[in-house]
Amino acid sequence: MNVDTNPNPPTPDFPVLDSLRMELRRGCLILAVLAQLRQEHYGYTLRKALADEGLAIEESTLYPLLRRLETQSLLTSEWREEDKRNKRFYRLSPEGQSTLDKLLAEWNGINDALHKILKSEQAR
Amino acid sequence: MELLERYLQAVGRYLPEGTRIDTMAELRANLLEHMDAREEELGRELNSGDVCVILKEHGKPEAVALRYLPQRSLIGPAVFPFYVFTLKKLLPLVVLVYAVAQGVTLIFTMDQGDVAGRIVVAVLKLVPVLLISAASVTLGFVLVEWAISRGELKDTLSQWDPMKLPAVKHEAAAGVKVKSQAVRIVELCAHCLWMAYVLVIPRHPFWLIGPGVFYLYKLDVSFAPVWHVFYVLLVVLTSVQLVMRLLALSRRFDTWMQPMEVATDVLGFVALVIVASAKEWLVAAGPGTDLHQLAVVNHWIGMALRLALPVVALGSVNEGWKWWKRRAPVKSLAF
Repeated sequence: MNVDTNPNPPTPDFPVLDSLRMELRRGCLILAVLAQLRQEHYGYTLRKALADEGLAIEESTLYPLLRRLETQSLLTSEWREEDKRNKRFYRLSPEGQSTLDKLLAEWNGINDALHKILKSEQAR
Repeated sequence: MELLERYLQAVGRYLPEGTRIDTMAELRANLLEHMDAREEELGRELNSGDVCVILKEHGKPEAVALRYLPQRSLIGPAVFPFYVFTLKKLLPLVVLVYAVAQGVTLIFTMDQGDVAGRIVVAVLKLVPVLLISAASVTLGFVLVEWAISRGELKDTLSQWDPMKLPAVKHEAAAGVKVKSQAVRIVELCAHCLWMAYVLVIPRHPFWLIGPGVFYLYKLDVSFAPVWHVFYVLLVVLTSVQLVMRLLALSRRFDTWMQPMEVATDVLGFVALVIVASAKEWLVAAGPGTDLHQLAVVNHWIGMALRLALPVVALGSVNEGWKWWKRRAPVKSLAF
């Protein structure tokens, strides 16, 4: 999955950094998409909502990701007309909700641990 | 909007048939939204240049379509290291079995002639043998990956017992370089070739000194009896070394190898001493032999053998010293 999401442009002189950054963003991005889809969105507005929150993501990355998450039963979708145009709306499924809760717990655990590690590093 | 339709058509070419129409409809809706937003931002209708920019930002059609395809791999990252490990272990073994089989065939069909040509053909035929072996291993691992993806082999990696781990190799721990299995197999193959060469020489003296054999024919000379003794010792020596190289494939015999190397070095040195101590190495084969030239050739052969003696002796002493140094306790080496 290409997760070129971002505020920080790629750094061709540091391919290792780029690859590590991409790896770091990959999981976070799924978490963000699931969290954002607690409210119904279609692809374009979801991308805009994420960008407004500071998490820009390429369209060509986001739309296939939505499909994949739907295939994994984490999202549900439906075609509906809005503003005289047919759009596919996505929403978190009950299974997606429980997965999101677990992932958030994991995320918070990692975040707390990282903060502790960084704090103890600064204290030295 | 023709440009958008052309773009969607290009993306659609690479999408799976079952979801193509649905995916394209969704892409169309999202891209139209994007264009509406850009129109609002610019305060005018989009021209083809603006549409181009939007489509370019969205990505090359092939790349976009590929991201919609399920992420599949024949051999996944969890299994891949085992696949590479197996290839590394198996391919040298294939080379060994092939070399032995071809070597044996060559020895038993020596009288069919054109040995060099047959060796070249055998080497060339090794390529498809290696490719087929690698393909078979790949297919095996593809099946393993498939079984894992179906959940049938899930627990295999967690089923192991730390108590069954092999003992620490002291030589490796002490920093002594241990030959890899691939190196041992290459050594065995090289030795098989060397042995085949030794066995071929009596029937094909050309292989011993090349075009020089015609000079010997011209001189009308033949080999002195001392070479027969040397040849028997050489065959014994190479046979012993062949057994050693075979034993070396099992690391259980590692401790035996160094003294065996020393012993074979000594045997080689003895063979050389026997040859060097002879008075003549080539003898007249008929009445037409140029005796003066024969004496000159014998002189230079003797000189070469006497020069070789200290070199071989030094090599044997070096091997013996290395073996003794490894056997000696560390304390006794600390001055």
